[in-house]
Amino acid sequence: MKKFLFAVILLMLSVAVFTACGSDDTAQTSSDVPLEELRGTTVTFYGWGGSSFTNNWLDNIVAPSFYEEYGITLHRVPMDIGDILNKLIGERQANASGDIDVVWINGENFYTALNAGLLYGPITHRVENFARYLDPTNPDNLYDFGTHIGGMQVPYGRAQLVFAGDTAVLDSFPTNAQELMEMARANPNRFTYVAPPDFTGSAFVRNLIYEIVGFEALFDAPNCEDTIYEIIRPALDFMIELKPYLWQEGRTYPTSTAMLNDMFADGLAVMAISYTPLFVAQMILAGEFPKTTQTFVFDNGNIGNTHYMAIPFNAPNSSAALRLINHIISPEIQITKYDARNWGDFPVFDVNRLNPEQLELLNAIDNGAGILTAAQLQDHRLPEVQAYKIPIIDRLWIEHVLMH
Amino acid sequence: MKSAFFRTAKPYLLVLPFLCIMIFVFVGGLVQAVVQSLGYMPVFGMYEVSLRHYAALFSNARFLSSLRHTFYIAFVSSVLSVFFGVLIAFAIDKTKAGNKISYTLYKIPIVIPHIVVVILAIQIFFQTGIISRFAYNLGIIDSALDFPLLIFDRWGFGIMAVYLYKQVPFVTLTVFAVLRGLNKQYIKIAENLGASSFQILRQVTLPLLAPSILSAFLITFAFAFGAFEVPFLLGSPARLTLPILAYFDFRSPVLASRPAAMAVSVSISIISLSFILVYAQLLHLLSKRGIKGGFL
Repeated sequence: MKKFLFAVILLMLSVAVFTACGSDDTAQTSSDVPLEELRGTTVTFYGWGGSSFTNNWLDNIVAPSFYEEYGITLHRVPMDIGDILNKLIGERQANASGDIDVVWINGENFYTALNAGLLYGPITHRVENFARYLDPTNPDNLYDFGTHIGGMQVPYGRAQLVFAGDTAVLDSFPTNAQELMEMARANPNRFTYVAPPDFTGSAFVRNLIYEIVGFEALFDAPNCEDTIYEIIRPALDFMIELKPYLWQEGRTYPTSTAMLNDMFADGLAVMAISYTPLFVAQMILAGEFPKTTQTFVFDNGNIGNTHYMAIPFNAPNSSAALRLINHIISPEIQITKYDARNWGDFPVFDVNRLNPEQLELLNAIDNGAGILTAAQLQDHRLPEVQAYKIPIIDRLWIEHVLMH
Repeated sequence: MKSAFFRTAKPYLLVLPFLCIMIFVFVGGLVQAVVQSLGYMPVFGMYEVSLRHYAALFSNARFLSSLRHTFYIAFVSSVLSVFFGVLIAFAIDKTKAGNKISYTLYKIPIVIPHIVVVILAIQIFFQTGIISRFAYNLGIIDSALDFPLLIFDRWGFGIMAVYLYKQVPFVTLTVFAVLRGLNKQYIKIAENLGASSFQILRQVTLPLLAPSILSAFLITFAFAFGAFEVPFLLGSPARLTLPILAYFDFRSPVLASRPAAMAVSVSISIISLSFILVYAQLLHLLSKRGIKGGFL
C-alpha cells in the first residue's frame, strides 16, 4: 500500500510539472508585419502529400520562387486533411500553440473547421492578388460545397472529376449512367470504382446520383438522413443493379484512385477515374497509360470543385502565411501549376484580368494528349452539394450498396 | 527515516521518466478517448455525458460485422501461427545446435517490417502478381481476372498470409528458447518408464511448453486484433477490421459523430485488456498445477 502511495504521489507531481509547461499561450498574430521582419522565417504548409506532382511543384517551383521574392523558407508537411483536422481539434481543445501556417482544405473539412473555430480570418481582403486577379462574382470564390466562405479561405486551384478509357479497348465511352451500365454489362468483371469515403470515390458516387435523380433534388434536400435516403434511393438501387457486372461482382472495391488507376494501367479495369482533369496526359507521359487513352465526362456534366488554402487559428507565422497564399495565387505561379508536367491543376484567376505577358505564358502551355480542353470541362462542370450531406451520402452508400 | 524514504522512493524515481511518457501518451490518450466517447466535448458545445454511444454499438450492423471479422482474422492467423511455429521449433530442436542455417533462416522474417511484407504480398498474390502471371503463362488461366482475388478480398487471405509470415518465426523463437532450456531428465525418465514418443510429447513436453505456447498465442492474437497497417493496406472496404473502422470514423469531418468513433476505439481497448486478464488467469491456473513460465 505504501509503495502504491509513493507511485501515485510521484505521478501526480509529474502531471503537475508537465501541465505547467504545457499551457503555452496561443500564438497571437499581428496583422501587417513588415516584410523585413519576416525575412529568414519559415512558413509551414500542411496538405495532402499523396501525389509526387503536387509535392514536387511545391518543393521545386513554389518554395524557391517564394524564397527568392520574400526571403521566407517554405516547409511542406504532407498529411491527410482528416489528420490535420484532428491535430487542430486537439490543439483547440488544449488551447495549445500549433505549427501549421497554411492548410490545404475544402468541402466538408472546411465546413467542420469553420464551425469548430479552427480557422484564422477573414483573410481574403488581406491577400492582394485575390482582388486583383480573381472574379469576385464567381460562385467558386463565394461558396465552397454550399458553405459561405466569408473570406476564411482563398482559392488554390480548380479540379473536376474525369473518367478515362482506352480507345483501343472501348469503341465508345459512356455519356450517361445508362450507357455506363451497358459498358459494365458488356465488360463484366472489368469495371469498378473507388469506394467512399475516399474523396474521389465519394465524388463518383455523387456524380451517379446527379445522373439518376438530378443535382437539384439532392441540393434542395433537407439535412436529414432519412429524407436524403428516400431521395437518392433510385441512384443507390442503380448502383446495386450495377454490382453483378463489377470487378469481383462488387464484393469488394478499390480503396484508392491509385489502386484503380494501377488496375487500369495493367488492363484489369476498362475505366479510370480521377479528380485531376489532366491526369491522362500525365499518365501517358509517365508511360503508365497507353497512348490511346482518352479523357471523357458525362453529357450532363461531372462534379467540379475548388480547393482552397486557409490559415489555422493558432498559426505561428500567419503574416508569412498571407504572403505565401498571395504568392501561390499569382498568375505566374498558377500558370506553372496548370502545366501538366508540373501538376495540371486548373488556375483560379479570371483570364480577362491577365496582362498580355501573362496571357502569353498561359497560351504557351501544351498539356499533351488524351485530355479535354478547359472550355469543354467548364461546359460540363456541375457544382458540389452542401458539405454536411457528403458524409451522410458516404454512409448510405456503405450501408446500402457496399453491405448489400 | 529520511534515507529510508529515499530507499523506498528510489526505484520509482528511476522509472519516473518512463512513467511520464506512458502517462501522457498512453493514459492521456485513453482518458481523452473515454471522455469523448461519453459525448463530452465542451470546446465544441457538447456537454452530454451518457453511455448511449456504447449502447448504439450493439445494434450497429457495421460494428458487429467488423467485430466478427477482426476476431476471425486474429483467431485463425494466431492458431495457424502457433501450430506451424511449434512444429518448426521441434524440427530445429531435432537438428542439434550444429545446423546454423535453420537458426538464422527463421529469424529473417522477424527483422523485415510489416510494410515491406505487405508490398511483397501484393506483388506475389494479387491478380497481376507473380503467381497469376505464372498461371497465365502456363495456360491455367485465360486472363489475370480469372485469378482468384487473394488480396483486398473479403476473407482476409492477404492479411493472414502476412501475419503468418511474420508470426510463425516469432512463435518458433519463443517456443524454441523454452524447448532448449527444458530439463531433458524428465524425458529420459519417461523413456525409462516405457512411454512412447507420442506419450512423451503429450504428457511431458507439451505441458512444460504450455505457458510459452499460451504466451505466444495471446501475443499474436492481441497483435492481429489491434493491428492497423496490414488490414488497412490489404483489406476489403466491405470487411473492415475494428481498428480501420475506428480510424475511418475518427477521420470523418462530422464532429457530432466523434463520440461514436471514440466508443469504437475504447471498445478495442477494453477487448484487448480483457485478453490480458484472461491470460493472467490462465497462467495462474497453470502455476497452481506446478507449471511456471510465460511473460507475466
